[in-house]
Amino acid sequence: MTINIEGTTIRRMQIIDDDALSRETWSDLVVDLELDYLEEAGPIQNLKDFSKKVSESADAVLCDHHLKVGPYSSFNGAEVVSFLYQSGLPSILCTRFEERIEEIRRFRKYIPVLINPKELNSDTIYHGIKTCVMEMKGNILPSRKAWRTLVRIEDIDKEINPQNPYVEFVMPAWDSSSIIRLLYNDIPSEIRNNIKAGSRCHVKSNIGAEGQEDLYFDDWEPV
Amino acid sequence: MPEKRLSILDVGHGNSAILEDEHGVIVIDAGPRSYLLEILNEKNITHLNIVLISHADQDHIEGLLALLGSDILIDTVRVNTDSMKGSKLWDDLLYELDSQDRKGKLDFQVTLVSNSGEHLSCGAVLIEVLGPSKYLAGKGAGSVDANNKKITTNSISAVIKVSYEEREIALFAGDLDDVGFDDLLRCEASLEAQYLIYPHHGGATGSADIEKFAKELIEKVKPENIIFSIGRGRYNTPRPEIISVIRKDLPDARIMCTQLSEHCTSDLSGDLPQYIENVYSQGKENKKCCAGTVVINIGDDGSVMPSFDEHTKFIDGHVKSPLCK
Repeated sequence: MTINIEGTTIRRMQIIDDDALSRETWSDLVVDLELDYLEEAGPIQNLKDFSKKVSESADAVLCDHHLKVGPYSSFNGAEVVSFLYQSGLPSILCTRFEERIEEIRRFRKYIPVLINPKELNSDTIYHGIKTCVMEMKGNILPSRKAWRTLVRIEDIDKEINPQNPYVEFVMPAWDSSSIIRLLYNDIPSEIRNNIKAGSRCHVKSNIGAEGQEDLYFDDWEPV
Repeated sequence: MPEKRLSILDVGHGNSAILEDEHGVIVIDAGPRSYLLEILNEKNITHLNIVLISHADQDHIEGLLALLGSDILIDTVRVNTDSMKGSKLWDDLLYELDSQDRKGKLDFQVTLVSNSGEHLSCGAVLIEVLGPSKYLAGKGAGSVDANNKKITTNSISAVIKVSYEEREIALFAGDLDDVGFDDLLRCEASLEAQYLIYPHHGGATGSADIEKFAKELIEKVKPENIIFSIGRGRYNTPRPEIISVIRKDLPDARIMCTQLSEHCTSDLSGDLPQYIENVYSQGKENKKCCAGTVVINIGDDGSVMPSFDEHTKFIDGHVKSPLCK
């Protein structure tokens, strides 16, 4: 069976997870959608080669984030999904993002769909694929559309990792009461070298996003 | 959609309205988050002639920050000072407005008072700022008025009337409180209008007895329709006492809430009303809409969407204990 979304045919999904049991569980959900599936047993060592391989055998991807387990993968799921999506494959990242949000955020621009495992089912997979396909065709959801907006730096927290501290800031057009955290090294050097608590600058971000886990940042500008 | 229209937007807990006609677009308050930006984007509106911000509260100003960074061109922004407002959001907004003004991108003035002498209109649609007076704005938030009552951010909330061809269409009361209302009465402002966008989302109104305030306000405005711009689950608005006063003193007035109040129903399992389908309403998510975004045809027929019949049909079919009936 196939799904046809706006002219894109989806017949088979590639399931990427180092845990074979998880792959099996996810494959059941894909089968519920009446799609075929392929399980990726690894190793994933080169993204370009991997992307070519997946493109030849599958039409969409469902991927875990914690892939750097043993020899399974040299990359985490966010990197893999981002690369595959940019290669033209509708790709969904499934993970408990609360723990790793800053790690995922640097790739979030190219991860249209991030699903918590508690919410993963055949419906959310279908809608995830649809979101990817529509975005690839230029039909971007308001929650994903980037707008230039003001950012105010609140703090640079060097306590946990002085080499790559957290930059804490507020994006008032998104939510004036929430602090957002980004890793220092994920901000372009010409910006991060000049920011301190109280600084303001501009960035492009999807300010229509509902949750912090959905935010991405691009095109930083100095004030 | 009518050519000349006034849309009272469902932005959840907050206020925002868009006035559109063939001469341009005016925004009255920008609501919270970036909902206004989404709406303007959906409507392909890329140019705003005027943005009026009634006062410095987050649920009226946050949306303007979203607009200021976007591609939407804004000609004119008017807002009053508020030295009492210590929020960083207010600071951010003023910073951004000042920055864009100095770059020549827009005209920003820190004055939105009655009798300013400034013409703030859209073609033949007249925009009047009825309050605050220069006296009250000059005293400013943090000071006291002539009755020694404390002037707050809400006291100096701008009150704006929209009229067309001698029809007094709508009165936007912002978050007006008793001090601001006394100031309007002192200046003998003409408050009458067909539509009243009720102050402070139908919540508390300063130190005043809210029933007394409601009674006096509707007596002066004499509205045929009263709109409460509310966010379900936020602050328990509109207060039932206010609705009771309206129903007693203006039994024929039509009452509309943008979203379903928790006072009216706990059940959100029903379908969304049909009239919401082609209109942006923040409450569409999670099926919180009641009237949703209200669109008033300012032109000849004066019709409104949703119509009374459509809205009543939705209420009768889906709302267990509506306050408005």
